[in-house]
Amino acid sequence: MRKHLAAIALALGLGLGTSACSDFLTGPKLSDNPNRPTVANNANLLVSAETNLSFQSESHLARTVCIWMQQCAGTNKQYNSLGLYITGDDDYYYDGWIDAYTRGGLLDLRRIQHDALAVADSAYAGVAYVLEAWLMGQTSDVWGDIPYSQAADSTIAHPAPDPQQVVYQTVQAKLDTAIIFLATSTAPPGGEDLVYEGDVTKWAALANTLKARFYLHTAERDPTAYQKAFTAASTGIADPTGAGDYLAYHSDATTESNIWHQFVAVSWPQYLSAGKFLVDLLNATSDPRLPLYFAQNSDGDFVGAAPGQNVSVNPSDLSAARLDPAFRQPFATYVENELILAEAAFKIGDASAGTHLNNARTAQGLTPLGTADLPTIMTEKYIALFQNMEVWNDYKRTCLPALTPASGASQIPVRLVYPLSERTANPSIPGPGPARNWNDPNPC
Amino acid sequence: MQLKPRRMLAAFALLLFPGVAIAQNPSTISGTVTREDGTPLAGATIAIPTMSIGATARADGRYVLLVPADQVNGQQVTLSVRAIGYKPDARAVTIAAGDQTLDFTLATNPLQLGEVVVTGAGTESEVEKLGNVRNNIDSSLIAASHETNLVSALSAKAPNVEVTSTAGDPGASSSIRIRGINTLGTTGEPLFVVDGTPIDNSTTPTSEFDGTGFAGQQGTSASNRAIDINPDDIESVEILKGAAAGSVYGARAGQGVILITTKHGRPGSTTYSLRSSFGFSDVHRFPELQRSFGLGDEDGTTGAPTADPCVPSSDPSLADCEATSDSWGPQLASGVPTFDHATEAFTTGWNSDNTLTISGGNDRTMFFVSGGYSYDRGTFTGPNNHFQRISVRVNGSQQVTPTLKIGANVSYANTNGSFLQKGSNFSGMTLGSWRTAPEFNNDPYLDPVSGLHRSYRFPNPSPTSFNVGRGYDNPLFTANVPLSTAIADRVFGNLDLDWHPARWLRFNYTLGVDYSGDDRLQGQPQTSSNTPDPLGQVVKVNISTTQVDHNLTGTATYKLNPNFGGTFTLGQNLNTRSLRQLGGVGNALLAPEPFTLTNTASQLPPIDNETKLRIAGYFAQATFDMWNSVFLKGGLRYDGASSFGQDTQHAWFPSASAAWQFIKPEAGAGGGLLSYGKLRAAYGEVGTQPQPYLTSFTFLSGGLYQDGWGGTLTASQNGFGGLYSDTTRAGDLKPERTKEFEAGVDIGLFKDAADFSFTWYKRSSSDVILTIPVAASSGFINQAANVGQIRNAGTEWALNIRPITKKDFAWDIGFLFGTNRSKVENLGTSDTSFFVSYGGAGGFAIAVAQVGQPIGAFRDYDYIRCGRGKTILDAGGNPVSVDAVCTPAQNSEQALFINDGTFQNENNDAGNTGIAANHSSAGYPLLDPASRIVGDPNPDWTGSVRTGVRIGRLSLSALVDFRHGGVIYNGTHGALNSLGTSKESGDLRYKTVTIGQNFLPGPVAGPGAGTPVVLDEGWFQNYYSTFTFLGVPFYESASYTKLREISVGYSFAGGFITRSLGFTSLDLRAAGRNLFTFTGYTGVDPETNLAGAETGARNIDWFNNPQNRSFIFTVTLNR
Repeated sequence: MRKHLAAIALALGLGLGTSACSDFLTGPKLSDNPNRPTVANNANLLVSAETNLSFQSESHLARTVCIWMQQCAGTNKQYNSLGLYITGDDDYYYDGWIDAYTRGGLLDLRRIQHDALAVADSAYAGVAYVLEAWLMGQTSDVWGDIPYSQAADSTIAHPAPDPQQVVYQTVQAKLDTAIIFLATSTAPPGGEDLVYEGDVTKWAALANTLKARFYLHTAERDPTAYQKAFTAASTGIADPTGAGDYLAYHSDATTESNIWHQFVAVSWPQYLSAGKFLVDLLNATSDPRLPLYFAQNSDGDFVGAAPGQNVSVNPSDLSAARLDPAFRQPFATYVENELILAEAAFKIGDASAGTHLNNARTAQGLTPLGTADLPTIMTEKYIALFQNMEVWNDYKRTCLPALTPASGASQIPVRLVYPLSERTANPSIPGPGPARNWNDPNPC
Repeated sequence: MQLKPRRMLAAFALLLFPGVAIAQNPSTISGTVTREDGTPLAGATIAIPTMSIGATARADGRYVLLVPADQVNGQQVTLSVRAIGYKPDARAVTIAAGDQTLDFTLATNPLQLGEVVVTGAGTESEVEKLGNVRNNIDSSLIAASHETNLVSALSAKAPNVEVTSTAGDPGASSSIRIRGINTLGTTGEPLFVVDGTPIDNSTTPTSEFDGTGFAGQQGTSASNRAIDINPDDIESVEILKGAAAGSVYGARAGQGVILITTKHGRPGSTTYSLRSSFGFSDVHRFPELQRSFGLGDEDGTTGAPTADPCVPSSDPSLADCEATSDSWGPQLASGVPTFDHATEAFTTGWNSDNTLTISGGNDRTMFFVSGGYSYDRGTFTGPNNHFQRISVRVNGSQQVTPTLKIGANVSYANTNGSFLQKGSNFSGMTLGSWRTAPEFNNDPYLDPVSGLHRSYRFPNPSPTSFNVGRGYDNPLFTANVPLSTAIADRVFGNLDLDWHPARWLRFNYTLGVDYSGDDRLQGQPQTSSNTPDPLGQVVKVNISTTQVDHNLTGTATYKLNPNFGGTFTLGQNLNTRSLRQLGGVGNALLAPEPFTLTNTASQLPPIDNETKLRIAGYFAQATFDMWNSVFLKGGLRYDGASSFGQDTQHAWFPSASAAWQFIKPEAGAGGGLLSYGKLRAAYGEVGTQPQPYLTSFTFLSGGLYQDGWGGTLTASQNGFGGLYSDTTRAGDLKPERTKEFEAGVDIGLFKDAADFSFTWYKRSSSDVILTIPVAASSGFINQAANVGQIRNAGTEWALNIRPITKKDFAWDIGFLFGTNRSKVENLGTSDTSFFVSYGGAGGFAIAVAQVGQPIGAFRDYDYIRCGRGKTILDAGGNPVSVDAVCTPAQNSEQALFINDGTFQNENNDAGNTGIAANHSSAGYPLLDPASRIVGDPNPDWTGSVRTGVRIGRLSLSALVDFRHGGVIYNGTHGALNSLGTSKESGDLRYKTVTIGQNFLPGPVAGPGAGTPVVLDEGWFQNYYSTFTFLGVPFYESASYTKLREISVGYSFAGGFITRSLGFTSLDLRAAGRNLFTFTGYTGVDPETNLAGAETGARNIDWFNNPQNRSFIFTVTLNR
């Protein structure tokens, strides 16, 4: 029996003694995720940041703008309803919202800036400032007052929104800083800068075009905005060949292909077709851009669908060129810069409005126009900036071109409600938000 | 040649104890153990517990106990006899030299009192000492279910154990929920333990890897890994429901524990049993479709319907033309043939299941060997709808010394399934089928001229369209061409040591290993509509899991005096689980075949995922028995887990229970109404372990940008690696904790002719881990946190009656009834408007946890109704309160608000114009742009009635399963309304109705009430379908009554069978499964779940593959 007890003690000691291995619970692959890196360098982060900006600028938000601006039409199911402005109140645009802050948004852009400034890398810092200003300005265009100064700060759980006016001021300040950084740059990024490949001169010109763009967005509130826009655009993207344009990076690879291609040609055929207003406009003037933007339908015609119409009107698809997986979506271009100059010149009474209008047309291979009144300039911009979210901002400011809202609606939507997920998780944003953004006090 | 066992043992004893044998003579006790009907009771154990001497009755019921001579001194001891299913017997005997004979006759023991049952982690207990309710399912009930999947076989076998088969595909997963849902972030599946070793029962859909982010809602069915167990190998299943019962498993028992014991050999001659079954299955319920209107559309928002120009035609200019999806064209001319798309893709399936078992042994060695092969051919046409399992099991044990027993179990299974696309999926079988325009013939699925995939939306493919998506795939193409296979190899088993170094001391040690390797392939051919690239996709993944479990317990038995005694147990459990997923996704097939990654043009970043989880647990348990009528038990487990945060690396889980036998079995045996009575109460705490790696910050590399519409970009572009901060913020976690109190009574009635059990429980799960949305503007989208609190409370009732128990005629009937109410009490906020979505039909029927609501409640959209505080806009755009327009009576009955053409709906606050337009004509309702809780999928009660009749060699049995209450989302119907193929959309098309009177019955209000309206395409598509933020019309009651099982069998024995064929018996059985479903549900079957087994979202019907009914014929040969 004593022998037995000794054996018992031994067994217990052996068995229970294994608890002494303190790293049984905390060893390799236990506490830390073995599948993911815990550090990222600025080159890694920049690729994501540029991809993120592309994504916000050409996915669901951009398609919605295209439909509401009647360049496109929603012709099936949910997109048909979208053409009638039925979006539900849930998180229909949540992905566009989170792009502003995550996945290469504000959080990672600030990470780049912090790391770059720590080693006095002004090129990376400058590029990240431009991307930040662009992203936050574009987000504010859609939602108005947005969390910015308190956003992406680990110490603030519920960032309060900044007034849109302040957002735009911050955007201008960031762009000013960026221009200074870019001017003193020593070690520019390489190919990880997917669009400009480290050309800081192009980044600086882009920064000026963006300054002009965001000045225009305050024009209904600030009488001096046109002058400021004119001044900024004068040092904006100036290469008529388009070599200075900011074009989203895309390729034929499935994981890099144009989002319009992915939506229309791959995932949701027939949901999005040509818009009647734009097709009719291009048809009426025999504009050579018609076949560049749209394809002939099965009857060999260019047909657009009006809001609420569906595929039975046999609407045209987007053109094969626009649906090419490698088509690089233009986000900020020489043409836009010239048309900003034209509008601003017109507004401040500068005689160069016509010149800038025709610069834009010449760059697109079009014949010059004789008149440069506001409807002509804005209509030209409406056509030239096909698929660009800027068209919505132009419309809200100028009510041009004169679109007719979908039947049953009194106006075309002018802002999006705050996404429900942000509202429920962030008590600082209690409701869906105001009816109109600060920069857009006047209905069309 | 036959040695008398007694002599053998005597000789053996002489060898062991040569010295003492001369001095004294041993004592030999022998006899037979029989049933009350006189038949031998093989396997009964005969023991003198105080002397650690025991034996097992052989096939003829005989036993021999040998007391070594040195222990023979004329003492008085107790000899006890036990057999599972029989009342134990005990007799005093004097140990004196020489032979003596003691025969026993054991009575059946329907209440199983006195029997020892496993209670987990190496502990065991006698049934009457349990302070918690016991739910035991024995092998005969599992065999009678004729299910391939063990989990499905548990359906309707215990109250508040809800089993849902997620789809009708062969090999599809089944989910199991015990006493409601108590967790949000984890699967909600209980812990499965086989012969003392935890095993993996995860379900991993292949679509989890395809890069779309819609796993579970689309793609193909997947198996839950418990399907690797051959149900024929199972001896019994104990369901540890409550926290008190499960607390010995600590941080892994939060969702309950399923303890499975496999069959073991018995001493005696080797027995052979061959069970062969063959069956047929089919689908017998289909949605109702219209066959009067053809493909086409209304011309925009107004005007007459026009046929689509793409209808099948010989006009070459229409080649490659893509048709509308809708059947809103003109009425089909008489004589135009139409096709039955509801049933076209179905056929009669069949299944075959064969198991050979061989078992036997002697006093020291016992073995059980089985080999099984089952094949299930599904009910869809085509070659790719099947599941097979090959399984082998070897269980053996050896009594090495009188105090040491070694056992080992090994099971190997190879399962091989081929699954079809289902659900929210343009390639889905029923989606393609049921959306097809009635005049389009899906057969043949290949164009006779071009040989390419043709579908109703793409009727005339020409060679230039080899890489164009077909809109929706032809279901017959889906049934034949795409391939989705899962080939799993599974080995699990354990080594088990049982050592009694002293009479009062027992050690149990189990070392278990569980490994599975699962090869997945999902090949979507060129022209598939549901791939990121219409050139097709190949997903290839190997998933391997390993689990090693070490469990050591020591149990000491003490007796203070005859009236007070008990046990004390100490235990240690170390557990490691690792998961590895390796694979790739290739897009754009180069050539149509084969489905290999090397045959694709571009590949997504590889799938390379590895996780490892560990638990180190220590537990102690003490029992205290008083006067053989009061039984107390206390337990404590201390668990550390690798996935707990650094601040909370360990947690305590206490438990306590008490049982009071107010009528003891021996006291009640005399008769009277009450023959047995026990009151019991138990309290326990258990945990749910967090998923790994929620507590560390990382960057994502292979992450994808997505916008909910399938558009994706990877973080890396143009060969430059991209990284971004994980959108999930790291959290500091501890286990979820479930605290539960249960109390109940077990009663035997009329000399065991009936028994009744009632249990009431209330459980509260706190610190529920939830991936809570955080303000995205903070830089993160969500974070795992211990914030939730969920309460479940319910009752469980069981009544078994055995009115006739004669030898040749027996009848029994059992009733089970369970209720459960759940409520989410906190989600980190008590704000009753806050909710967390955890699944749904991809934008529709969002299952949520919302404070104050039952868990899994549906949020969806409705029309504007009175009495809900809604605001609408008048003609001038001014906000108007709906409630002010309605009367108080209309407000209280939440009447449907009918527009007169002047109002528009509006967001909650004035002026928001994200939502402006609506069906503005008079007589229609307005859409409410805000979602709300619209239904509770949880049943009010569930129950079953089982009965069995045996007349001589003929036996009959039936099981009826009830589910009452709860709603199901019939999204299939809502979608078909939009497509114009539902019967409703045909019957009501262009009909003039008055809402509230002959359409959408119910109270109506508003200025437009009573105005007749036309139900046109615009109505159906924008205001009466699921695609435009409207769900309420498509929720229905999920109640059903199912004839789950019915069978009739006859057993031949003796006579010709034995003499000429050499079998002891031959059993024939004919059975039916799910033969009838009585339900008011208008969809295919209220038992369905698009979301799959691994989520708490349930009762979502969205083009899922439907359930089957089956007829099975079984032959069992025994010898």
